[in-house]
Amino acid sequence: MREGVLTAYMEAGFPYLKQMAKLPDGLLPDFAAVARQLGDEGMLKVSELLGLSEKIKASVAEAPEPGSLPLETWQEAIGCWQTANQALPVMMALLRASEKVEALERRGILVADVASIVRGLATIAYAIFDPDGIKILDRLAGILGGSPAQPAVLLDGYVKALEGGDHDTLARIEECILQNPVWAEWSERFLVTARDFPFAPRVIGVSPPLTKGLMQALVNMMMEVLNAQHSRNYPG
Amino acid sequence: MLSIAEIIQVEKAKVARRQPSEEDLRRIPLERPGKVFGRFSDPKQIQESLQSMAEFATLVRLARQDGFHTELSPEEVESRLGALQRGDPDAVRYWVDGQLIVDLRDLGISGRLGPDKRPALAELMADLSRGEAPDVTGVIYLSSEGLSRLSRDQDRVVGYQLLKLMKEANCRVRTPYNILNARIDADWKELAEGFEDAARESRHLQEKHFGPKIRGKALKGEHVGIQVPPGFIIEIKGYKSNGAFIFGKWLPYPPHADVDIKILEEYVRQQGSKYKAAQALRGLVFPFFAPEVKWMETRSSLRNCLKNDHGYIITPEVIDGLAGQLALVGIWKWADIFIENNHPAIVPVDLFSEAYALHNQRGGKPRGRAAYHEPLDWDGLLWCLNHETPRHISGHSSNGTWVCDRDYHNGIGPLCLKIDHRIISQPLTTEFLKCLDLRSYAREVFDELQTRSMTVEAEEAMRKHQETQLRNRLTSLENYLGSADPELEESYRRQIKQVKADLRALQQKPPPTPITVADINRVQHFLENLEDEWQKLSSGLRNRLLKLLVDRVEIVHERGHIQAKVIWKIGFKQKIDIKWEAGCSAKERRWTNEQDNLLRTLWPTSTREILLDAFHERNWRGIISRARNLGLMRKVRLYPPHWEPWTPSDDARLAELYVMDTPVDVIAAELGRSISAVVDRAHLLKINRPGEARFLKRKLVWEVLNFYGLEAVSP
Repeated sequence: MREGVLTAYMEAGFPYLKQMAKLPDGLLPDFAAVARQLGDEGMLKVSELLGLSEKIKASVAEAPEPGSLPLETWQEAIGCWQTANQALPVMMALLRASEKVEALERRGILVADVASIVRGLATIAYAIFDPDGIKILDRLAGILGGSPAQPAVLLDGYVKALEGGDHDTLARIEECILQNPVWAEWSERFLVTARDFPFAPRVIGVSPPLTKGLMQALVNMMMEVLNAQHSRNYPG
Repeated sequence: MLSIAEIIQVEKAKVARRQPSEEDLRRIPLERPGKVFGRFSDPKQIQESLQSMAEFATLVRLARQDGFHTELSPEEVESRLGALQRGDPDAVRYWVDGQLIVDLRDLGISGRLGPDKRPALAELMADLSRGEAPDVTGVIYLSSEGLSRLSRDQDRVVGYQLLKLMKEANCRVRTPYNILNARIDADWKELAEGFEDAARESRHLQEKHFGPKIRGKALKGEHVGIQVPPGFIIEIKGYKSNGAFIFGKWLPYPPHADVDIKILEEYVRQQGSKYKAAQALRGLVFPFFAPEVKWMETRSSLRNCLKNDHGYIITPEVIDGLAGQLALVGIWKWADIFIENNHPAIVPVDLFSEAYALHNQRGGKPRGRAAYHEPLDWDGLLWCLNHETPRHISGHSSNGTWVCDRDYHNGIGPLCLKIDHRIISQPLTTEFLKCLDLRSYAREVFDELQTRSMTVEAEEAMRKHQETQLRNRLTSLENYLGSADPELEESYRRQIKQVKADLRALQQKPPPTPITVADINRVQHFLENLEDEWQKLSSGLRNRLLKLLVDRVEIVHERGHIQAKVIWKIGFKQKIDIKWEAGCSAKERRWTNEQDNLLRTLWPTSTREILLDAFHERNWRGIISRARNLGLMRKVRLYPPHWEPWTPSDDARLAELYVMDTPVDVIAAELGRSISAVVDRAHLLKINRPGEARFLKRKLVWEVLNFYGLEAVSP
């Protein structure tokens, strides 16, 4: 596999996925930066435990440069992805979950360990996109009381358990993931990668258009900050 | 080194920044319509003032000389004016003559009246309010009497409104002597003075004509046109030849006089608080005037009050006015004239004296000079949705509160919201900045900074150059002084005066703000970390950015809970649920009558646990304090069953925790004791708690839902 080709595919393909899955503007603005930071190696490392890395390598080995692909090819490829329609609900549920966890932490009533929460949320969110993920989703749905075909609802259920301080459910979810060697190791590797990541990617980044007024305001702000620093550094 | 393209860009920026010269601003804009505007105060002047009428024809000629294209011949114009003068019923008062509009519809209408009574003025103001557009009047032709033709408004409101509109529309004022443009500072002053003189002159005329007559009536204690306080009507002594009333003294009007008494009684009961009195009197109104005294509607001060279906609403301002109204006890006051027992008193003197004392005592303290406070962040963006129609929430920056109090001020409802600004501002700012991503504009901002920096340098250099030139010219001119030719000498002196004035103007011009040019990384860092840099920015700039990006914030609130919906201009929505510990402010801590009654019942015999359960929003110390204030006594002394003496290890642990930021309730929980026991023991052991731990900030929590409106998506 050519060096950097996977990263290039991720970078080039995400806008098409966003468009087709109707993900809102401003969601995951740092996706390309994260892909670049992880690189081909990092991404394959996270996915190899699920047996995906070989398939990915094989798929992109002979693939042309992503920049040369026409729009139709991207649309066709994303259209063939059966779980692409899950991207929007899962993303939104994940966003809701992270906002809720943040709120619970702010209130000082977060009942579970953060690592355990990340493990639970990441597994539920990612499993639907893994060809073999339905098995673990089925078990998790049994605990959370939902359908494995609706991971967004399971994510909501997980958050409800967190909110309600349902230690029993949370413990069973944790146990279910840790008992499955593949997902236990995957989630662990995911956690380590996330922990060691050099910057905190933005989840939402709304960029209003740069009007003349906005430009003036930003320049004035910049000048104020710079001039304040200048005066502070002035001796005496 | 700059490239040619960059140099051109700098030069273009300079041209764009160049202000039009005064000459440009005074030039008559022939591409826009011109308007000849005429007004006399008295209809008789149309027939009698031949010179003034002839001046309108002169103005049309002047406009033609200025370059306006007109179609009517001078004879036709004069004939139209002649028809007006003769009182011809078919005479026209408004016509469009090519590019010129002649508007004489305000002839015979007083300049003291506003646009609601003057059609020509109303049309002019409406026209100018459209701004600087090709079809908006570009010049107003006024007769030699100048701005008094436009307005003689005694409140000086219309004059300034016109000035502002003329400035915005870049509209000139042309008289036979000069051309003025409100966009030029000196002209603005002259125009403002013109309106001021017109108003003053009008007052002077009024006083000269009517002053002695009014004073004569006032000395007799008769109505002289001032607003009649509620509780009175005016006696009609007869009718003038034109059918107008001849007024006498004020007479009691029982339906309103009874209400006056009730108001003053409540005011006294509420110890001089007009707001509390208005709340207590909610539902009471001054009934509408009966049909036989319908004419009082425009003469009573109640005409300024809010109305409902039943009558005039009693607002705090009405109460305030009544408490200081000497007429209620029969005293007539007009300027320096005081007449006792001028008319019947309508409230008991004792009651009025008491109310007057409270009113005076409160208003006795002179007001200090108003201090400027920076506006609160989000000021002007918050709307309260707890009403039928959204209401603006005002930011009181002097005491740092958000307030929604229109009903309260109008005396028709309680205070809707009064809350520490941080409870709303902090979560809103945090969540707004978390989602705002301006990183991609770093290059543009950096380029703009550099361009500005170059422009500032160029401006500064130009300014120094001009200053040097003027100084050199001054020195040369001063050397020429002492000429034998008086005309030449006079010319030099005039030129010296002019150069000195130019130099002074140049020196007084504020220098351009210097810019410290940063590298692009600094700009990038700033935009990436706006959250950290936010507090370093001035409040004005913070608000400027917020107003550029946020359309509004809709607030729905109840005790201890606020739901805020931030609606961005680009359509992005955030919903933020804010919760805070209610009962922290003095108002929220206030005990209600129901709570007092419950405490009276429970206090003598109930245990501490029962009391804390009953008043779960209060702490034990607060309950004890209230019981003491109510003079309640415990009939039994109940010790908690788990009470144990303090051990040395307990004391050591207390000393360790108490000096840290650990909340007292946490220490109490760890040591298995009550909060008051912990505080008392620490006091006994003389353990001092650090200031920051003693004054812990109010616990504020919130929860955000971004992409609000998309939360219900399903596969």
